[in-house]
Parts: sequence; structure tokens; C-alpha cells
Amino acid sequence: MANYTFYPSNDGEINKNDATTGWANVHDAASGSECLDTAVDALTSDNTPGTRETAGSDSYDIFRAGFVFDSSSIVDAETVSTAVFSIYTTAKSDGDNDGNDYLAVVSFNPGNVADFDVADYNDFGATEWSNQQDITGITTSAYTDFTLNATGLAAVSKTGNTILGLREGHDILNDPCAVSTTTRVTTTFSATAGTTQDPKLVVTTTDFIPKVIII
Amino acid sequence: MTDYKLWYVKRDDGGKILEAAVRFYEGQMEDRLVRDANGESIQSIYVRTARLKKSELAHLGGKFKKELNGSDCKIYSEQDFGSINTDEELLLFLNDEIAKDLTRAVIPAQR
Repeated sequence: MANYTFYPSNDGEINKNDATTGWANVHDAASGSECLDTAVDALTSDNTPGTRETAGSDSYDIFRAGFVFDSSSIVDAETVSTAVFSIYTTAKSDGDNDGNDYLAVVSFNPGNVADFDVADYNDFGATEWSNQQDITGITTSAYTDFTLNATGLAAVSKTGNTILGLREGHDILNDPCAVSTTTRVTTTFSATAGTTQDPKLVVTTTDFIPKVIII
Repeated sequence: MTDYKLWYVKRDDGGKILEAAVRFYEGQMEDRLVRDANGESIQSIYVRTARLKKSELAHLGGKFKKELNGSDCKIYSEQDFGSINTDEELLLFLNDEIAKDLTRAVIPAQR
């Protein structure tokens, strides 16, 4: 058995905001308003993922985060048995604490893994690939762990990149957040100095055991 | 200036570190927008400007591996760092390694 801890080759956030046009226009937008990533923009920290409604004006913001891990060094003969994705959060806001205020891992399919774009806003999946982490219970200045489920495990690549997205529950479920609330965390991204707060993916594998045929 | 980041750390099932793949960079201090626990502000932060290639890491010697994106990654094994288990032990070893670069100042967090 082996245990690999991978760190991102790129990570970042894409957000969408649109004043007074309502939740659906922001949630279902084909493109975001802003994109910041580590590789190009030196993103060290941002208030993502999350959702926000501003002052009852029907103005919503949605923040989504993406992470690319080069997991090609996993020995091909090994079997991936578990994978845990972790982010280091430094702050949180839990304005709409209605049970849908959680974070979960989803798919993410950016056009260019080395340089995220606002067009990638629409490339996050809605199927949850991990356990849910209730924002209420998240401890700041610490790592929060997401254990990948069977669907998420199937996305761990032994030959290429493992690409993960992170969304807030109201965003995943298409449930508009409450008026005048902010529900999100502040995540440390891999452009930050040092290595102790980087996002990480811990993959555990089991050895390949060849069959022995006795003739 | 210079710093390192990790690509991966491989351990056995007892937690002993078998291999560490390390990315080395050069960079500089720049004023950038930062959104963190204290809000949004312009801060002077270390920004990586280039990934160091194998030819620029000759002072480290040893083994390299290519990442999917074509970048050179320095590979360390037990032969280099001995029998270690914790991230802290690995980072102490890597801080000694990056100090071998006599042409660049190491960022404070890795001195």
C-alpha cells in the first residue's frame, strides 16, 4: 500500500455577479464575471466558494473554486482505494444557515488547466463527489477534509490530472440563498508562500498482487 | 528570490516518506490584491515569476522527473533525506536544499 499527497499545479476561483437580475441569471450564466488562479494571477487567498445576496436588491454573487492535481505519478499497477481532498480555510460566513450551507466536491472541466478563464464558470458539475461539510461546523485556521465517494474516486487519474471543483450547497442545489446573506469560506490557494496551507489531495492505493498459477 | 513548492509526497503504509517531488521557483515581491480573513487589500506578497529548470538546479544534482506540463521536478528519496515520517522533517531537509542556491535569496518562510 502507498499513500500519495498531491499538491495543485493550478487552482483558483471563478465568480459571477450581476446586479438586480436575479438568482437564475447568475446561477445559470454561461460565463463568469471574474477569474483568478494561481498560475497566472498569483492567487494566494479568496472568499470562495460561496453565495451572496446583497441588500434585498435581487443582486446575487456565486463563487466557485477549481483545483488541478497532476496525479500521473501513481503507479499504474496500484489500485486507488481512498482519496481525501483538503482545503485550508481562514474565515467563514454562514449567513444562510438553512441546511444547504455546506461545501462539497464536484467535477470541474476547465478549457485550459494551466490558465482558468471566466468561460470555465459553467464547467462545474452538480453531482456531489464527496461528503458534505456544513459551513457551521468548519473550523477556520485549519484544514477541512472531503472524502471522495465512488464517483469522485473514479475521477482520480493514474495517468493524467485529477481535476476537482468545490461549490457551496445553495449553488449545487440551485436554491437561492436568503436575502442579505453571505454564505462562504475564505480559502488559501497554492500561490501562498510556504507549503503548510496548500490545498492537497491524499490518495491511498493498494498494491497489485499478481495471481500465482501453479502448474 | 527563490522558494519551493511540492508536487507530491509518497509514503509507505507505515507513514515513512519514500519520495518527495519538489518544484523550485524564482520570484519577487509585488503589490497585489489579496482577499483574506481581514478583507480585501493591496499587500506586498511574494509572486513566482518563473519555474526553475533542471539546468538551473545543477547545484542540487540527483534525479529529476517531468510533470505533465513539461516542467522539471526534483525528486528526493530516502537516499537523500534518510528515514523520516513527518512533513516537518521533510521541510527542514528541503530548507537546507534550497539554501544551496547561492544566487537567489530564499523567502523568509523557508530559511
